[in-house]
Amino acid sequence: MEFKTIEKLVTKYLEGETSLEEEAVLKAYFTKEQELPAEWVPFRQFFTYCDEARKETFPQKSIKATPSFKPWMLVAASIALVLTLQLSGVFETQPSPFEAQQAEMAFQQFQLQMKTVSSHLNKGAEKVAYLDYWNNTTQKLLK
Amino acid sequence: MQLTADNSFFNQIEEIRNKIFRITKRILVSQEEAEDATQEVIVKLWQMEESKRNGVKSLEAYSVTMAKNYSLDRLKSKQAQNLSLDERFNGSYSDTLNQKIEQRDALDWVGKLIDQLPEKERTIIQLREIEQYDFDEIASILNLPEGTVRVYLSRIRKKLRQQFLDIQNHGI
Repeated sequence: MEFKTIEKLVTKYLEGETSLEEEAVLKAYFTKEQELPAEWVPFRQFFTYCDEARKETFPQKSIKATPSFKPWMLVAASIALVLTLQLSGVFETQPSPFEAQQAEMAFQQFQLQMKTVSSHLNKGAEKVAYLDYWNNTTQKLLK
Repeated sequence: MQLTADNSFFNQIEEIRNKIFRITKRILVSQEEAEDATQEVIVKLWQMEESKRNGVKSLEAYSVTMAKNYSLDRLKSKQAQNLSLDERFNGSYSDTLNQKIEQRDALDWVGKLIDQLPEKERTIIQLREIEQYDFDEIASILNLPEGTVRVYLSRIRKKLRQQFLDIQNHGI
C-alpha cells in the first residue's frame, strides 16, 4: 500500500469522512506494516484494541432454553434424601437415652403390678384351701 | 406456534446479546453492571409483544438503541446518587495511568483512554470503531443527524490520537 494513499486516508479518517471499507484498508495497513512512523503507532494500537474488543462476549451461560433437569441433580437429590432420613432418625437402631429411661420405668411399674397381683392371687389361693377343708367336713356329715 | 417463535427470538438474540453487552459495558464501564444491564435489556425485549417485535425493522439496531438508552438512564441515576464517573477519573487519572502504562499491556490502556471519555463520546467510538456501524445506523441509534455524528467522531479521533501521542512521548 502506498504511503501517500494511507496519508490521505488518515486525514480523511480524522475528519470522520472515511467509509467502513476505507477504515478496513487503514486497519490492514497499520496492523501489517512493521515500520510505522511514530505518529502512526497509536493507530496500530487503537485498531488492534478495537479488533480485540469486538470479540468480547457476554460472560454468562447461554440463555437458550436448556433442559432444567440434569443427571447430576438426581445424584444430589438422593444424597440429600439419605442425609435427611439419617438426621431424622429413621435409620436409628439405638434408642435415645430418654426412650431407654421411659422403657425402664414402664418395666418397673409392670413388675410392681405383677407382684401385687400375684400376692393377692396367693391370698385367694389360701381361701380356696380353706374351702377344701369345708368340703371335707360336708363329706363327713353326708356319710 | 408460540414455542418456535420464542426459539427464533432466542436464536436471534444470541448474536445480539454480545453487542448489547459490549455497548452497556462501554457506557457503564463496570463489568458487573453491564452484565445486569444486558439481562434487563434482554428481558425487556423478550417481554415485547411478538407483533411489535416482528414489526421492528432491525431487531439488532432496536436492541442496541435500547441498550444505549437503558445504560444512559442507569448512569444518570447513579451519578445523581454518587460521585460522577468523570470525577472518579479526573482525580488521579494522569498519575496512576502513567504508572500503569509501564506495566500494563498497551491494549489495556487503549481501553482505559476510551473509557475516560464522556459517555456520549465513548458510545460513538463503540458503535463506529468496534461495532462498525454505518453512519446512518449510528445516527438512528443515537437519534442525531448524520453530520453531527461525523463531527463528533472526528473530534474524538483527533482527541484520542493526541492523548496516545502524549503518552508515547512521555516515554513508555
